[in-house]
Amino acid sequence: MNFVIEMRRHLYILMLFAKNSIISQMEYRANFVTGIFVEAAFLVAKLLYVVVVYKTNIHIDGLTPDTILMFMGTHILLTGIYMGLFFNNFQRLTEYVRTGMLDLMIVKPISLQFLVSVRHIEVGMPIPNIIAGSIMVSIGWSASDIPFTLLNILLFIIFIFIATILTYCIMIIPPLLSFWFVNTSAASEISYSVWDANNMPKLIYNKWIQRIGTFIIPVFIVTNYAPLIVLHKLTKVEMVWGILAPLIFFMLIRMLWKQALKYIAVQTCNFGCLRKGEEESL
Amino acid sequence: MTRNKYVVAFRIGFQSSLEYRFNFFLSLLSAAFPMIVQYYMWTAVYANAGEKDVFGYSYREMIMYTILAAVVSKLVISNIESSIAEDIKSGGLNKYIIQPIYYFGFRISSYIGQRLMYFTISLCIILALTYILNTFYSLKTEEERILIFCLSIILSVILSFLISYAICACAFWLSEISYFFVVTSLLINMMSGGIFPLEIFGERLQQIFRLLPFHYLIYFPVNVLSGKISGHQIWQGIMGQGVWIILLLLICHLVWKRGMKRYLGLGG
Repeated sequence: MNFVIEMRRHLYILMLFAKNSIISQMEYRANFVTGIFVEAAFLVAKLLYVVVVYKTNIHIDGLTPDTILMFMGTHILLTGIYMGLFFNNFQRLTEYVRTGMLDLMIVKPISLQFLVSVRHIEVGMPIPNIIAGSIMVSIGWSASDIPFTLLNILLFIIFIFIATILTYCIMIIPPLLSFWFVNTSAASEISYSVWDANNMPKLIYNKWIQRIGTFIIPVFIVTNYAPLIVLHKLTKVEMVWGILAPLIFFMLIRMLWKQALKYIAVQTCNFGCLRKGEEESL
Repeated sequence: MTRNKYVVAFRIGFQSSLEYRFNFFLSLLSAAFPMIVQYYMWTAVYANAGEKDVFGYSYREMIMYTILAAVVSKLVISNIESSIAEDIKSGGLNKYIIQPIYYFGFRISSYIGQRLMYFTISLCIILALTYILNTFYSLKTEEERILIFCLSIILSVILSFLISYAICACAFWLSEISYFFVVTSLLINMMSGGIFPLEIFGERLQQIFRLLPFHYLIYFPVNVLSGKISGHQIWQGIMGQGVWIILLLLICHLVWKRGMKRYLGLGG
């Protein structure tokens, strides 16, 4: 019961954050439009892979270019979701740590992890990715002769939701490292590279890369499992892992978050003691 | 003892580059991921195509291009836009206007200092990769080709700096500039062959790209080293790089001269 109340409260606050973000972004319309253009440019770079897939008529383990398009569309769709929900917040998290803003946020009567993860929801930037990703999935879906049933749509949406949780777990790691290290730009660069490397079906990689990308850093679940489930190519083991993975990785991230907070608390305490000592010596 | 001010700028740039060296190695590591994706993608493509060339490249040439282009793009990328734009926006240029130093000279000296260590390391990595790929595919890269590659990559780095410096002048006219640089650097990377070889764009777009300086940044040096460009085309390319350097020096001079007339010097 308590869990349901808390869930409802957090959902209500999430809606308030979204409303607040839209209002603040409408204030700076030029930035809003520029954000869309920037993402459109990144989308063009991603679409180069689609050009290669169709021009070379590549077939991967029985997947036709149309089916591959569905995987690429899912990747672009998830990129849009990530840009909308988390990107802005993760960028700011590093700044919160560096400027000491996090110390002020701790006192707010809400889960700190929730607050820093979804406080600033981006509306403009995800638009090109979400539109292009949805169109690509639709084209790939229809061209691959996947039945357009309610069950298939529901399964696809469930695995997109699972992918969103895993996206959160993977992409929050570099900003979390900023609790320990000052400059984490290269770690972020690596995470973006890993993310972009996920734009092709996992079947193009060898078995070891597939295992690492599924069980250790579960990026392949993000892009592959939603199309694979509707293509009836997801094995039972993969299906179970697809359901367990978000729970396991979210718990791991929660533990890492608590460790990071403990570290910050110790640093703040040390700094406070140092200041007190300095003041006393004066 | 009098010290040349540009040597001092170079030394400061070099020292600052040593500060975040671990970050540099991690950023090199990030180049490995697109390399891996493309390696497996092209392997699947050529497995379908058989012995046939794809976009005019054999399998070996394509793999060599993919691997070398990923490292070369890290090497030639300048990343100076945001700091120069910040100088323009926040009035940081003021101190260079009143001091007896040319802003261009200061920036290029500092840039060379910042890139020197990374340039040397990246060059060693490229040469090591070429040796490994040659051994793996039983190929041979002539010593002259390596020397010409080194020359062309030095010219690419200068060209990259000048392109960025010319683009930075847009900060005199545009109010919000950070997004603009993200788009320009991405487009430049695409048009210079940093993501895929230019052949994938088709004949018509490729001809347009050849009229622009960008293909001299990555596409040209990589193909010189891989052996795809040979004979008189190499020297034509080197000449092209030289001509574009001169043209861009002129463009930089003109746009910065006009830009400085608009400069308000707010803040600083």
